[in-house]
Amino acid sequence: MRLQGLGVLFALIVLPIILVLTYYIQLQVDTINLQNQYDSKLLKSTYDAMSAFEINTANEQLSSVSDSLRTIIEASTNVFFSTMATNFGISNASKSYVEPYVPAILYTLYDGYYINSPTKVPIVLTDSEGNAVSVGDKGVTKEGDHYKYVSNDKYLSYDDLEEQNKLDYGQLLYYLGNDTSDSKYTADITKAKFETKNVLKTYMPYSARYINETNKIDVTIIYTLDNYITVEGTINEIYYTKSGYLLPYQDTSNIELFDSNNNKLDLDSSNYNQNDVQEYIEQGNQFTVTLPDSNNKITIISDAGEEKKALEEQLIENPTDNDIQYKLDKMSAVVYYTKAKIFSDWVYENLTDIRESDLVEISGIKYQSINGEEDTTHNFNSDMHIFNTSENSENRIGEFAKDSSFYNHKLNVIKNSIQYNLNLAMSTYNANVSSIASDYAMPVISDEEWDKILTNVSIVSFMQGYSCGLKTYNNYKIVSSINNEISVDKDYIYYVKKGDFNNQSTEYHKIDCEKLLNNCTGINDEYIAFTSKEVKYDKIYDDTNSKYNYDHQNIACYDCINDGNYTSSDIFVDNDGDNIDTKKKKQSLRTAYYIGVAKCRNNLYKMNAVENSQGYEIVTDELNEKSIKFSTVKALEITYQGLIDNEESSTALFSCDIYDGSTKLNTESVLFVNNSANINTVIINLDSDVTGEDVFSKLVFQRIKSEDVHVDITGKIQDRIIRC
Amino acid sequence: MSDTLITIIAILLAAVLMFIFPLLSVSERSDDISQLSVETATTKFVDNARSVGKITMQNYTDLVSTINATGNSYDIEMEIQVLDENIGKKSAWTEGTVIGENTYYSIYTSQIVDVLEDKGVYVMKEGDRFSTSVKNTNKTLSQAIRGVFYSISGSDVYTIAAQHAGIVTANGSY
Ligand SMILES: [Zn+2]
Repeated sequence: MRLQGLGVLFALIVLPIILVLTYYIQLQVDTINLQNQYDSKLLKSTYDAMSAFEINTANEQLSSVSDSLRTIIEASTNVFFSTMATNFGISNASKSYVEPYVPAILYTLYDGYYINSPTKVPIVLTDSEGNAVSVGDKGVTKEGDHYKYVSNDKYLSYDDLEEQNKLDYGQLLYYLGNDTSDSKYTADITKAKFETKNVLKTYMPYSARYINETNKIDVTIIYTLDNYITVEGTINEIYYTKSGYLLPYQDTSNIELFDSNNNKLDLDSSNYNQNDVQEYIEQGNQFTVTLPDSNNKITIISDAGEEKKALEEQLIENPTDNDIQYKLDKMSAVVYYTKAKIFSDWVYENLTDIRESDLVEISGIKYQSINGEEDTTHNFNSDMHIFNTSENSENRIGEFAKDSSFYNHKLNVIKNSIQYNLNLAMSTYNANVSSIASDYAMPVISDEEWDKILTNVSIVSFMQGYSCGLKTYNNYKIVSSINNEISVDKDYIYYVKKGDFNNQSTEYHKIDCEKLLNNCTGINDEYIAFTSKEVKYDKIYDDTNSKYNYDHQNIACYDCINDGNYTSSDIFVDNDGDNIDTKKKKQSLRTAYYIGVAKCRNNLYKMNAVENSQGYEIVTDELNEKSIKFSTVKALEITYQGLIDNEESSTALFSCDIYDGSTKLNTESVLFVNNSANINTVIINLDSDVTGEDVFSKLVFQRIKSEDVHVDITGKIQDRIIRC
Repeated sequence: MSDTLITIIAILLAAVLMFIFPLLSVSERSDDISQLSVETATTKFVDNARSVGKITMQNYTDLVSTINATGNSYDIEMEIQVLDENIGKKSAWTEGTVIGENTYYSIYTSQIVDVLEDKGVYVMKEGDRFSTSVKNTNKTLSQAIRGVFYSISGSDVYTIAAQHAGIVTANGSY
């Protein structure tokens, strides 16, 4: 063959190969680029969602109900989807276009978490105002196998129902599954019509239940991102609901308390519970806490001499009076340590027998992840004592060491719970949104990322199924927050000398900034602490007090705050080379740290389900006689169901007479509360001024047949920690 | 004579067609693949740094070794635009953060690398901006071959270059 022929042949073979290769590599490059763009968009959307969350919590007066963040989270997910839609070049209106590509958004909050994910939900019948309608409500009638609803028609009474339908009473009504006409409803959820919706699922607390037969313990413990825990359940047949900060010392005796006469308090025999002691300190009585320290003891004295409220009012009048601010800070800090000590004493007295293997009710499953088969469940079979803190020592009071059994166990409990529920959400997603998802496998979140999720309020957003060049996109992004109202990170509390607070020409620092140590003059220096969120969202207008919250004037230090790569000094350890002056300076900063952290934690909103943090005990769960004698009850919580009388009436449902001896003080009555027969709870607060021993409450049921009614009475014990 | 001339031209053409063209093409594909891995590595490096709020020596050396594995030498330029928290603190303003009024000051590669070598970690905070750009400093094979035929004017023409930037979404810590 001639040379030219060879050349042509070569060109014919090589050219197509080169062309295909070029095209293929270009596709790969495009895919990677697209994937990077999607990553950025997902991160941006998650970041926006977190900003919305932070701003909303900063502006909201939060209540203590744990579900109160729901509306804020819903707003945040809306922001997420709007940003997503905008970033993907679709208008805000078509949020529903991106929704199917998001199998889950996880919000880890202070004491629990929310998952937003597409779920099949039964379509509930609602009235014109959007309230759900139940059997027994006005306008609901029975017709054949189903129910009919004509708004505001008439009542269907319990007696009108046939025997097999009696159980429907009080149940929600759903649209019938196979019936297109809108006038037929069912109370049987298995027959209901379902739709797929991105919904925020119920709030899941970071909780675990422990049953220890030998020690007669059956408690549920709710953990939080820090060392605040809630314990609920029976120990030796007594029901407790308590919450508080757990100090990492089994032996809390090295934290000492002194009352206004400087008498050392022995809390085992004194009459204080957490709330009473808080009240006592906040009245302005002198109260002293001494904390163990590497060098000397650290003493914090609350000696304001005035009530907390009065001080706060003065501060509104004179916002620049830093002495008042400091008095308030010390008051909060003393309250924190005292309450934490009382709570920790109780925990270490009652719960030390709990082992990791006592944990029940965490389902262990395997699931398919993009890396293969994964276990959701940590093996909880060890004999490790969770509250045995002998090895938990940490030189910062209030912080559990990262390798302590309590800390590790807590992380495992939270992690398992989240993984289990996330995985559940993903499988529902696979089952329901299969038109897009082939089979969605959950990505594996690394340990480092878990650490981040479980130390701060975070949002984790998952996205998958979106076509991305040669493959489909599957990734997740995590954004954590430190600037919110529901948690405090000790590393983001800033300090400034008392005299310099809100002075525009001085800097604020992190506690371990070398500049702070160098500018310290000695043991008598006092510091005011505030959190990073107060700087980020400062000048937020508080309607209730008509003032700006957190209008902090100090300048951020260019070393430790603006830059972050600063020379740090370890104030918790005295170095060999430290002279006496440096040691004193360090102690002064340690004091500032203990006051600062305690104050910030104490002033935090507590989202726990239990309101007043101590003392709820079920007094009786059976009401054989209608009058019970209490000597130390502050409030009654009555749960009832099986209401048989459906007419609206001005007659009280039941009333509760309060006597002091034989003198009737007042009558608290509860009117008709709800026109359905669901479980209802009412709380009757008794006058807290009545403290006589003979106070008792008489419950009179007027419109409930007492033999048909199940009543739980929960008394809130006013006195100290009572073991019935 | 015309026959010889044509043969010589044919041989030259054949040489170009059968040797230089495939070589150029293959070396360009090799650059494309280098481009791909450099781009991936740069994006991964930047996104990781901005989502955890810190640059670690480990991640930095990972980036360096990944891109050097392509057989070229590179120049890595990093820049952190540090958000100045104090600019928004004018008492006359009613909002803490005034949109559009953020001011940044910049930290560059040499300063960052100094800290990395010293402490192993460079910490950033939420709101800072982090960008990295990578360019090849040597002449790649395709550049050299192309240089034979036509000169590339100036030295600032890179065939392998990647850039990624974004806002830092987390506060870093040690
Ligand atoms: Zn500083």
